[in-house]
Amino acid sequence: MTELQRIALWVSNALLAVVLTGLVMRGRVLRSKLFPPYLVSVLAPSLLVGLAPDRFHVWSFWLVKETVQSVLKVGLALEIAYRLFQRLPAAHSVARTGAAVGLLLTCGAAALAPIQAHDVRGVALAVLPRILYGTALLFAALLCVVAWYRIPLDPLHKAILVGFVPYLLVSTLTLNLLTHLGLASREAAGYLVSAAYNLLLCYWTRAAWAPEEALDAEEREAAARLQPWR
Amino acid sequence: MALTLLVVLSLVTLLPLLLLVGFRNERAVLRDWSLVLTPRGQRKLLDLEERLSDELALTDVPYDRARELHELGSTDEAIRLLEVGYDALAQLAPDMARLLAAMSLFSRMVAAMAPVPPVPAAAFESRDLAGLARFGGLVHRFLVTTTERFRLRLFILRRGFTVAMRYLFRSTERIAAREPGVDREWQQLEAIRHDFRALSSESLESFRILLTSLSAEPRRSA
Repeated sequence: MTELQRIALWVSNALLAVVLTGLVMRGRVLRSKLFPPYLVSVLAPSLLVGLAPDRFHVWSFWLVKETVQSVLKVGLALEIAYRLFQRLPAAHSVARTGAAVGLLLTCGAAALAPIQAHDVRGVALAVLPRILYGTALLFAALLCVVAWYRIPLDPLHKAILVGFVPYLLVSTLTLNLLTHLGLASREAAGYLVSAAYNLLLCYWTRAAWAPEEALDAEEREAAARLQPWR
Repeated sequence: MALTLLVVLSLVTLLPLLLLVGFRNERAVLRDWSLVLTPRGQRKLLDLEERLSDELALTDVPYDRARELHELGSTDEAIRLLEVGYDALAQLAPDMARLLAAMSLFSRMVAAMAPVPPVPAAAFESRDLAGLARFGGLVHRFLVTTTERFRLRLFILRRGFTVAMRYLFRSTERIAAREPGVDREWQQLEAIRHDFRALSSESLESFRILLTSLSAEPRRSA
């Protein structure tokens, strides 16, 4: 691990802690039940890698953490979809069908990924880009339904949806290029993903700490009907 | 490399969507929904319907007076009133178009739309508008959901207003320029005004269908 990578890692850790603190301080921690666990699932292994890189900066550990995070990301997309559309039957049915098709396609694409080397690294480089791409499309599909039905978004949900799509696409691109260009480009790929993730965390920090917007009586009534969990 | 290309393509195509949702004013979205979901919001929509009906009735005054003056031979005064009438309709038409666009948006928020009839071709005197309505009636049969039929109805009405305003402008110009065959233009003008009223009446009927569907919405979603 280079000095620059170490700095990027600790910046990420600090930002993750700030986001989590913001969620707690602003009372937004229950706006999404899976978002705080997702943040913890990023922060905890990141701290371990920062404190003991020789032990944890390895492919096997990376694959485990990426798998856990991928599951949480898909869960997060489904949770947000449920919260957004639970009171809107028309949009709910479209989103349910879209999510089912998206999940099936992602699982199919991951299962059919051509694995060149049957070790941890080979499987990770072949399967993970497809899962990341599928997750990005799942978030993008949610955004399409939100835009078409003009569904109001909670600021935190908006930050998660809008932030994840470009980040996941950049991650997929980087992982895929890593497969094609070889491990020589690993360092550059790491910098690119770190920069993208730190940008995402800055966006989330803003959303987590932003003061609640004051709504008038009618807007509050509409929000209470559409977003009962608020 | 196929996945790389797909990802780059996705990044490019999704960028407008990200910007659209990212910079969207969520309060404005909630305000739209409050029109749908709160009794006060629905009263606002009914007020809007009433205001548009009143404005439409007011546009008849200068046209009826212009027609009388034309028959009495007072051409200059008739043309002046005709232009006043045209200006009033030209102000009303964009309001109707905006109302139809808003209805199209609200129709997405409705879980189940009340049954929607097609725009009747017999309601129009001008050939183009009757043809447009017949085309709408034909497509109506091929659509499955009432929401799709409702949106088609709105599209036909919006297009109808554009066509009616074009004819109205042309006839008013010809009468003002005192071109030959003015009497035929006056008849044409009457036909267009009749069609404009028919379009407005069908738009307000669409509005009532939407309100009926929206009023069921809070019970359905509560």
